[in-house]
Amino acid sequence: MNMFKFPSTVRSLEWGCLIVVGFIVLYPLFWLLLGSVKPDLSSSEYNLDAFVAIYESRYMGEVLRNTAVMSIGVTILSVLIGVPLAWIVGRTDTPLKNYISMTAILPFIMPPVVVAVAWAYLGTPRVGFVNMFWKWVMDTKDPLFDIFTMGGLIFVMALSLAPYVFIFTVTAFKNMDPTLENAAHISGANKWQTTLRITIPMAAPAILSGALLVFIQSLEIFAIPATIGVSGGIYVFATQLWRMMIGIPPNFSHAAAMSIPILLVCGLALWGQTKALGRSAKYTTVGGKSFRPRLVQLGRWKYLALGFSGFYLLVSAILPMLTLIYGTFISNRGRPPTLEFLTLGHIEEVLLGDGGAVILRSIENSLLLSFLGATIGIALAAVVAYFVVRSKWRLRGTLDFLALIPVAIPGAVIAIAMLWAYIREPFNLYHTLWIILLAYITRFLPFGVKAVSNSITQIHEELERAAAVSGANWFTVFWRVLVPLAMPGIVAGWIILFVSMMRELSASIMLFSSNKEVIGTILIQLYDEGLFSHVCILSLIIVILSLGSVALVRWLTKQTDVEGIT
Amino acid sequence: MQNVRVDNLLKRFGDVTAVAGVSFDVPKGELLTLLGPSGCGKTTTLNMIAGFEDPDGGDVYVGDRLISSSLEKVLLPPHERNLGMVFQSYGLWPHLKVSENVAFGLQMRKENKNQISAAVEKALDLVRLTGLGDRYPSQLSGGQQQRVAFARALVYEPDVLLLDEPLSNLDAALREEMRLELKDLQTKTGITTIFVTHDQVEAMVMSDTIIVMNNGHIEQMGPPHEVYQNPANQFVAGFVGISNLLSAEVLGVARSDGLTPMKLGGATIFCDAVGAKKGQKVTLSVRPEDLVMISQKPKKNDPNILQCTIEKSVYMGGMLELWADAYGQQIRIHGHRLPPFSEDETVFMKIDPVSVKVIN
Repeated sequence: MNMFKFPSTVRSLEWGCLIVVGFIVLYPLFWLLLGSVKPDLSSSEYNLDAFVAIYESRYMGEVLRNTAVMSIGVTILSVLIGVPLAWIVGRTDTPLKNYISMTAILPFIMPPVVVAVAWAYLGTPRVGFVNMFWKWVMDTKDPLFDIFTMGGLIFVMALSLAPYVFIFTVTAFKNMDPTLENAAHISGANKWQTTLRITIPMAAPAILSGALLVFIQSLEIFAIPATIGVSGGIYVFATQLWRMMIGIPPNFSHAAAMSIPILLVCGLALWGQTKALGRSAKYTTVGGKSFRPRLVQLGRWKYLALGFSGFYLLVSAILPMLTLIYGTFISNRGRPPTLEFLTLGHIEEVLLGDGGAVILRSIENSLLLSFLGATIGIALAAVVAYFVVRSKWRLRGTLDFLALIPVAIPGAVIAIAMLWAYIREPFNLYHTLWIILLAYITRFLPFGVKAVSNSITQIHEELERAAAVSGANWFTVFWRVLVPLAMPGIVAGWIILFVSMMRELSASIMLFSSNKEVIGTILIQLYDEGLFSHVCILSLIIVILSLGSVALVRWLTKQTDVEGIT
Repeated sequence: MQNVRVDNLLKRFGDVTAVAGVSFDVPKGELLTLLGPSGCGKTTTLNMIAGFEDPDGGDVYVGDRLISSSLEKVLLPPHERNLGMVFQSYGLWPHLKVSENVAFGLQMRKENKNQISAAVEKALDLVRLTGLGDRYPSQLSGGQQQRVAFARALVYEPDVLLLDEPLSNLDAALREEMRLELKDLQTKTGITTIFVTHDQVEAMVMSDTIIVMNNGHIEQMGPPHEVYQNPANQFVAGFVGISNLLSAEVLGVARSDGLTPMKLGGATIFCDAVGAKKGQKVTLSVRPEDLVMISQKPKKNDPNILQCTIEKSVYMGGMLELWADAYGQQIRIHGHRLPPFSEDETVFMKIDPVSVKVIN
């Protein structure tokens, strides 16, 4: 917005924005850091005891080893799933590609917590549905696999996270200038040589950026390690952090000390991800020329491609969905799904019964938090996005960077940092919904900023300049021109925040208190109590809400691709 | 190096016929240009020769090799055609260094490493990029990227070089320089070349033969001077250079010197018009630079002189462009040493009979 003599009020607004974002992001991190070196807040002594204790604890070593094995395994498996899927959708003549590309919206429809509980029911050695089916078909007593192992943990995590690799990679494949492949063909390369030497290497930065995001997410997700992992006795970073915090008394300084190296790793990964994404954009930018990418004719191989994609969608979406539907309507777990065993009793119980009250209260709390959180969050995000995209202020980059930081902070870490920061004067937010609200806004701010800034980037600056030249001041330009034009992005962003908050778990699990439960925490609690049908009903509610939101976002952005909602 | 023969090439996109049976020969070592407005089918023709579009009919031979034929069901994929191509957007691979870009075609041909690096060095020398092999394409200027694209297309000594508007992404000054350099390069290597462009000046400067295309057809084929001086029809006259297309009527039979009188408003124009019949309506094509101003008022019945009234005079630096009215028809006049004119001034323009073309 260089064309205005920036009125001092606007400059103060920029400062205000920077201070607010800086505060909500950095203040908790400050307390986290302080907590790790100052175990006793009442004394003035600083030491590294917490770090030493963690380093020397044999148990911690195992947790860190588990975490490393899991995260690296998940990242590799996600790439092995996501890249072929992206290539199949972006660059081949495989039939039914439109359905395969639904992969891109999977994480939005099937959050980790839902995939986790569904696979816990599918993969239990003795009574898991997949294993029962296997034993019946093969006429054996041995199960096909045990989900409650490191392998199972990696498998379920990768199902949930592979779409991130898919989304980044398919975008790169689709936006690649076909001239580059034509040049290889004319130079004498056949289609396989071209794919291996030109297409895939050109997508490499995009693949790397998706993989790094998966890596960060694998450290952040709580639901899957908390169900699949804990049931198998496998503790990783997120679940160990939780165990430290629910201990009596909570061991805050050890939790903080354990968080610091993870934060550094995540920060590094995010830095690499941003770099890779920048490089990827360089590789795929084309001068607005429309073109038809040439598709590889797979011939008979297309059945393999179709089988591979179908299998992924089966295990990541269809089987879990069937499990949830089955659990919602079946009278007793294990019964065949025939008419005589179907019932609406579970739904009735949740709505009217005693056990249902706590579920309904959690839904109510989640709705309230998500509504407020999405509204406040998107308002903040809109202003931040505006300054990040348009301002020529020298601190613009700082604002951009601050608003991106939460991506690299696992939800559990944000939560304990906030707990420590806001438990004391002048905030006293402990045991309130407000602390959860603040955590949600902080966590999801980057996604809101991204949704709105995508929208603003597409608005020609001339439109704002025209209003300014016509005599509108900064605020009028913002309200009368920019906000209406960016409205699809703002609304889409609001929905993304709303849905993300509805099912948030990683931070909520650390921050909730009795009567202050949210959907995610209740789901885990129900799972622990073994209430199969209640878990399925609540999961199904999450999925239906998410599906509706996806439809709404798609309609709003009026595009068939879903890049905007990730 | 080989000659190319294109026989009755046909391409439809749905109901639209993009290329409607195009035939031509490119002799060994010559440069042939496909010239035409966008959508005329020139790029589609090139893409069918390269193998990026499948023809709906027709044959393409390179030397004795049939590389594409719809009758004989031959359709070699691009990588088996042994052609070199320079693309409009260059198509340099951003993840490979300049030397790796150039080496790619040789690697595909399984040359040994020493030969490859020697050939790459030679190719970079040829395009005057010596020593830049370790850079990435993004570190080069537009003109340099252009040269890399040429080196990459030439390094494996393909049978034919295809150029798809390779100069259109350069700025005007660089484009002029590259035109000549490219022509030099083509002459030096002696490679048979098919060049696609919409820029007539480029076509004039570089071609041995020009094919003017429109709506999927060939309108005219010939050496540059012939296409410019003897446009076969209105389209060519209008597309290649600027032409004044003037309606006239045949006044009588040819004189002993072979020139036929035409009535153009109040003037009589003698020109070469074989087979014209008295009373026939014809269109005359006259280039703006072929109208020469005469200083004295001519005598009443002097032939080949147009009386014009100036409507607008536009100063264009190197020349002056006049828009004028001649007997109710608008004409354009280009002159170099003309004084400025004011509106409504009357001037007299002389036309040499050889510069008047009768167009059907």
